[in-house]
Amino acid sequence: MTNLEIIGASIAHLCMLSLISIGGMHVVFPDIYRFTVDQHQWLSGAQFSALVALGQSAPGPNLLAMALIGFQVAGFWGAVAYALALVTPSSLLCYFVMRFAGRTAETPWKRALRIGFGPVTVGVVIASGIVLARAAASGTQSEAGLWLVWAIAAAVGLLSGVGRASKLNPLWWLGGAALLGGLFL
Amino acid sequence: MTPTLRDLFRVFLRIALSGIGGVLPHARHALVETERWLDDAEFTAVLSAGQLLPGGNIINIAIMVGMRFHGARGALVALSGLLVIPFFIFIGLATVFREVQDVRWLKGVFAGIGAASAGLILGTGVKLLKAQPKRVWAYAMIALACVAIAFFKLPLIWVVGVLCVVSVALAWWLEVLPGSKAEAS
Repeated sequence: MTNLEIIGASIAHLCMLSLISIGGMHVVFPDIYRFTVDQHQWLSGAQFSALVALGQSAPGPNLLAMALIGFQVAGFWGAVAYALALVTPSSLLCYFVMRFAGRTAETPWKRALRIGFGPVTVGVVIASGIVLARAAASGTQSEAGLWLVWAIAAAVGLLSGVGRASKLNPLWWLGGAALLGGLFL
Repeated sequence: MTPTLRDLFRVFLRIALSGIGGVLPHARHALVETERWLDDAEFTAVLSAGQLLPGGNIINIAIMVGMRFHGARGALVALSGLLVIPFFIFIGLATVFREVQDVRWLKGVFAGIGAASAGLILGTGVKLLKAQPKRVWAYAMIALACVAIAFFKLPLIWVVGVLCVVSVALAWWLEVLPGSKAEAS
């Protein structure tokens, strides 16, 4: 497939994901993985995982991690297309909702939406972590490497989620894991 | 005082660049404390309105703050501040990655940071988990959403479409209605 064909085949799907990214951009990562790696095999799981990790080590909104995926599968214009397709639909929706329905007080309905969306978002975010850990594990060659990847993911997940270590800058976790990975994987 | 378009671009660029793995705390600090464009209550209102809509939280905040001062133009400028320069930083990263991804010893490093980045997303899930209602229906929704995405690899649209409707309905019946009845009596 040419870059242009890949972009054409992705745009509608990404625009749709933009409109259902309730709870933030994390929730669409697993579906973009499903689409680009499982369904189309435009890149490997290990590449997907490395690019998301690079995105998390760089300053900027996390939707740009998906621009990295766009770059990998379809070059510069792929990155532009992936970023724009993910940001435009939800932004237009936000703009028009706020323009015509903004400034209304908290109603019981909004409370129900807020409470109801919460658990679904949490479930999808945790799933996102599992999908990405599995992708990182696919980049290792040995059984021991597999265990190390899952151990790092689980340890960072727990330590960065609860307790005092959760205040730590994420770069410490990424740096430590880079060292472990370089030495043992 | 009203910020100019230039101010909007500059401040949202600074917010984007200061945040690695989570820009929200920086956004609050910049908008409420440094620039004083919003007070604390307004920031919370903007954040929670954005959370009911699809799209990244920081993206929706930029749109709402931008349009508040300069309408559609303001929204576009604030969004550009957030995305354009970080986009090119990300492109730089993606270019480097494309050159070095096949270097043998780096594969371990990438698997390592991939594992840590999956862990950081799991950690985000764990943090969000603590904010959910401690109720059986909420845990059931979390588990269903997680299993559907991570293990059955279902498309996000089905998961969100079905589970969000069910979850909001449950939130309405089990959380919002009992509360409003208690207030009425």
